[in-house]
Amino acid sequence: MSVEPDLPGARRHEHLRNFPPVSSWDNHVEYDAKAHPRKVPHSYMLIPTTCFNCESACGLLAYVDKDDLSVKKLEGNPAHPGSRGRNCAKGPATVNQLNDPERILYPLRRTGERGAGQWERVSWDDALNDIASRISTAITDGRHEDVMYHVGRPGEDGFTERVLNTWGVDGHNTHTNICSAGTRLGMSLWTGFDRPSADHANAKVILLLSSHLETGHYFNPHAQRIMEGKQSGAKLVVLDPRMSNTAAHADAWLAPWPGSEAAILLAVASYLLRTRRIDEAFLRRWLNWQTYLAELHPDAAQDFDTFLDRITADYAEFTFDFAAEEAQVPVERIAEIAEIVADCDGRLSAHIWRAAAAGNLGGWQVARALWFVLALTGSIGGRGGTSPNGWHKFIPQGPNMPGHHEHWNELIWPREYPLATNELSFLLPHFLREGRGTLDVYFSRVYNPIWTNPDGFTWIETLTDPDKIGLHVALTPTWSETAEFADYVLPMGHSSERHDTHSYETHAGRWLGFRQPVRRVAMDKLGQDYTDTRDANPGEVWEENEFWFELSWRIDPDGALGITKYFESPYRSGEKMTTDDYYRWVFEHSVPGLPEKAAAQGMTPLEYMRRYGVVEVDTDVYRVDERPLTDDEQADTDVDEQGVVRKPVTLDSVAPVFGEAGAVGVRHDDGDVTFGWPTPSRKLEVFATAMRDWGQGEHATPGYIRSHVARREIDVDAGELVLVPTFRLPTLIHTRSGNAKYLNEISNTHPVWLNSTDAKRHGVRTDDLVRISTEIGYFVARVWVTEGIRPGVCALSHHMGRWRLHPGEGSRWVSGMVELSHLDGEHTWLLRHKGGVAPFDSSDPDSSRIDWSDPGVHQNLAFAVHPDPHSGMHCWLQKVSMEPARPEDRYGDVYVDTRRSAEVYREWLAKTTPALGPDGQRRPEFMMRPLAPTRRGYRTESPE
Amino acid sequence: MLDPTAAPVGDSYLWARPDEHRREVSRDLPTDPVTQARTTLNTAHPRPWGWRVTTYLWTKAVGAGAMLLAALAHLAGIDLAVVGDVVAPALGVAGIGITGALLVWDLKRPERFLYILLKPNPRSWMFWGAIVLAAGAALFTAWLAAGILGAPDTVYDWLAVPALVAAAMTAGYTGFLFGQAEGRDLWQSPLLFWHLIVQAVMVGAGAMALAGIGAGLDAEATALLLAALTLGTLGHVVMVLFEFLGRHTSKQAATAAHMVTHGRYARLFWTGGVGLAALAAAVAGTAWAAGTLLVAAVAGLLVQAALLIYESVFVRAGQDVPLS
Ligand code: SF4
Repeated sequence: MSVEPDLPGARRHEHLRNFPPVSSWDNHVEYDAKAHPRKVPHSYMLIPTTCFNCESACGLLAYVDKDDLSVKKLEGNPAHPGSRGRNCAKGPATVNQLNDPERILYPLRRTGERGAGQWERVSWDDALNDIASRISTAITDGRHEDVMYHVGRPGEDGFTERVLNTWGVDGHNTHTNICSAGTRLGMSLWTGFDRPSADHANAKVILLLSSHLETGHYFNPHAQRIMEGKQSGAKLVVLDPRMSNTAAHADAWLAPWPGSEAAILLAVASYLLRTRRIDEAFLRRWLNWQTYLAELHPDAAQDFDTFLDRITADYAEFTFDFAAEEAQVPVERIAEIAEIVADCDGRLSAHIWRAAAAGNLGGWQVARALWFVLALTGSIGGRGGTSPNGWHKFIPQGPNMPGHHEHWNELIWPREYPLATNELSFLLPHFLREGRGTLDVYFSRVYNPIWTNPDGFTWIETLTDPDKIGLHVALTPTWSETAEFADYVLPMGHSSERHDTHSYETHAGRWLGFRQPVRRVAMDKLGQDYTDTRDANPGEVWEENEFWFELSWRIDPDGALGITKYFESPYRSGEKMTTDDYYRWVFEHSVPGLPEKAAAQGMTPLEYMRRYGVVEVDTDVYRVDERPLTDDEQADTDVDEQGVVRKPVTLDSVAPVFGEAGAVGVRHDDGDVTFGWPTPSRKLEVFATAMRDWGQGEHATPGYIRSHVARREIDVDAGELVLVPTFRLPTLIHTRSGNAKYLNEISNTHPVWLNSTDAKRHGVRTDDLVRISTEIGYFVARVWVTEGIRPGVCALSHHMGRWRLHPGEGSRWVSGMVELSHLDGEHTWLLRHKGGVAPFDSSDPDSSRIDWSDPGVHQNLAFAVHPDPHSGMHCWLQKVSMEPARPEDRYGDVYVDTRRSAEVYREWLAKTTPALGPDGQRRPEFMMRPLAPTRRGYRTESPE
Repeated sequence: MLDPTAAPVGDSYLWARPDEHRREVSRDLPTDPVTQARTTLNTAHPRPWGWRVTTYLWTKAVGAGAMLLAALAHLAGIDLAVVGDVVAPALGVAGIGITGALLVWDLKRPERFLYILLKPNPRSWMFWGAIVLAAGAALFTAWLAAGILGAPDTVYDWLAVPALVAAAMTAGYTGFLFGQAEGRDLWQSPLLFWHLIVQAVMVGAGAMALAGIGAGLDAEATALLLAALTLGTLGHVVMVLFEFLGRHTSKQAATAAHMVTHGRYARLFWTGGVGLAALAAAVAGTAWAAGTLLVAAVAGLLVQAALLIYESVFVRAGQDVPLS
């Protein structure tokens, strides 16, 4: 008899268990609840997959009815070490998305003008051939950069990069600079890694600059661990201008003026330095303090004690009083937080991802200041502290990896932003309008820039211009505002209808999750035939991996471009690779420990992953920086004057995901040679040499850049406020939850949070309509008066304000029909709703039971682009003025002048100082870059 | 203990709209002066009991009150003539009949009403209430038959005490039933049983006073009805004031009472519920002093309206304070 495996999410209580045992997963019987009191048994296969509704990639377990292969429900996957059998509301709501009566079932091709709402059904063959021939011609003509793939929800690490590398196209664009580029820069400068991985469960102090307990990455897995930490006595400190659910659980909640967070953290750092409540041994070994002294205090003694004295003096200006003034909070509250942090014993787990770092000019310094505090307290990398994500995430490699391209796409990586960790994606329409390039084929993948990005009307103007974008292909499971303007809308599957792998830093371990089309897996088990995933999905819904394989073959049908060979089966020479081939190879060759684990259960690695949907690769991963280098790693290396251990490289070398090409470790003063950090110095860089080398030396150390919405910028008495437009709801996700009825039922209004003192000053009450004006226009919203937001600040949540132009082009569960008009010339736009959300007839009787009506306000349309001059991050917070709605205003109106948005774009662009680094490098090599070219590609001219 | 009144709903939830009922109710609930806490999401909880319950409280009271007075009169040797022999039992039978119909109608699954008796739960006043109503219906029907057939006095001697008890229980058992509605603290008053009987006397006497016009009642009978009407109505008013303005056993009850006396029901309660009854008491008292049923008939009508209004407030407010 086989022993039930011990699953991380399985719990028992007396005779009850929270999940059916694995041994019954191929034949689990449940009675039909709707047939009660009759007992009608149904036989299910329980097949794991991975949630697609946010980036946390929690495990799901699909209940596939053996009779008709319908997915009855999705629960958590108890085998998943990150989510441990649990989900947030959005996970189980996947079933709504599968059964959405309005989903796109067939490929569609535009027949009228872009955005005119006229479509015809097209075969996959025709669509593929059309797209492939365009790409093929672009590649043959040497116009590689005319092809762009723009991704919203990220897919499998490295998968599309692999595809684009085979095409030789530097065309990978993401949404990151409207999301997390601020934090990524602040953290990259310190550590060479771009994401934090906080060990909340073992922390003594948890410091969150976000509403992380209820939303964000990695919401559900982190929330579990934050609560575990709290249960073990950790203190929770939250900085958030809004009384979020997270703030409600805090031991200390500070509601600072937005943009003052770095000042607060630097005041904490200064206090730690002043009182010497710092981990001196850690700092001495791991900070590049020698560079700090040499650069900033060249005349001082170049020793560690002098460094401590000098840095203490350098940060003395960041007093509690200074921070309190910037933050507009009582000085005692800052002192209280500093004391809690000082008491953390090296177990400070801290998290920032978007929040202040994504809101403010200079927001990246918030992350920089946070990691300063982490360093000072010795909380980096250890148990209960904060590590980099690179230690806690596992990226497998596909078969037959292509070499890297050597192109540089300036539409994505422009010269003005050499230190932007990610693509300047939200400036794309402005770049195209400036004539910096054109696009022949533009893929938007689960990406809705018209709705999600700032300045959506400029996106519409650009997406409708065939001279700028030749062909727009929307790969999407659902309708979106952007898909309405596409040339092809190609339906891709939801989480249980596709393949890919995922790995995220949910805790101090590593795992690889497997997303798989559950009906297809069930068909396999039942011995039913299929050709590809389309045969298992509803209609002709496909999955991207198979799409990319097929498209690549069609781009290079005779192999002349050298592309097809990368899409041949590693097991059947000359034949097209299947997803089974691909993942079989990955799991057999690229995941340490998986073949052994599978063999122990008498399975192949692929069978193991299809059974459990996940494999744990490592546990308790700490202090990787201290890992001694092996002899192999040290072979053929030199040590430079900074102690960096390097292997020889050429211009054809490629930097690894993190760090410089060739750099493998660091030699310490005591002679130890360890892995270190993937920064230029392999140390934690308190002085960031990259900033100096790219002409931004005045910001080389952790500092405070006053925000564009700092207190002194806002004339409250004149009716001005700061608008926080980014806060998220735990129950919705960007633009993908519109088709989930469970979620819409619980979240369906969109009020502006306004403090009672501000409401009084503006003479408005709950439910009153207000006009909120930005630099480029205005929108009309409804007020909710609450003490849950600090005075001077108002907030309107992300996730609502969905619309559709034509019937059938959007989810009626969530969006309202609108019309667009040009009141004051073509460059002015007014969006006006023609009616809200209302019950409708469909195959789902629940659609006639809709009892909500508010589609929300699409505020992002009224925001101009605000690229931070250093990080390139869009600075989301808005300086707005509020007034009672005027007689002509209607709820949900948005008015924008796109000429004005172009002006604001140019104002922000003018803040940059375009620069090349040493050897004419376009950006620092150590910083992670999706689809990195060879080192040659980094250089404007080859020195050879 | 989690106290749902600690965070009343504001004008809006965080991400959804409260149902109109909860929104209105919450306006009467005090917010915590320090936290200003608000409930951020809930589902709608419509009041399960509505006009049918209100109405049957009245129909039952009229019928039971009339029979109570008829039985009392017989025991006291006062002859209420046709009013006692036919009108009162007719009111009693009709009252119970309508009450029963309303009760069944009010069940979620009316077709299953027999389950109350066939699958009895002896701890529930739903079950005992059915027994009481059945007993009342039998006794009142017998009384009515006796009246119509002109039965001898001994029949009434046999029937008087059981009918008195049945009438009292028919009026009062609802006090125990409401008492079992846990969490509905406004209804948990130990006086409710007695109050319901007083109400029954008030409206029963009112109805009989109306019927008594032209029935040729003697002075003693007239005085009995006028006294019952006056004192019943006065008693009701005094008990209402005592119940609503006095101390409450719980925050929930106090909150509901406050909603009645100062909140959304205040105007209806003070004018329709209390004002009308007080006016009726004054008119009835005047009629009693003058010994005239004609004037008392006005009071007899007023008390019916006053009780219906009062019960509608009592039933609604009892269910308004949120339990979650
Ligand atoms: S946190 Fe929720 S939405 Fe995100 S992956 Fe997990 S279950 Fe899905």
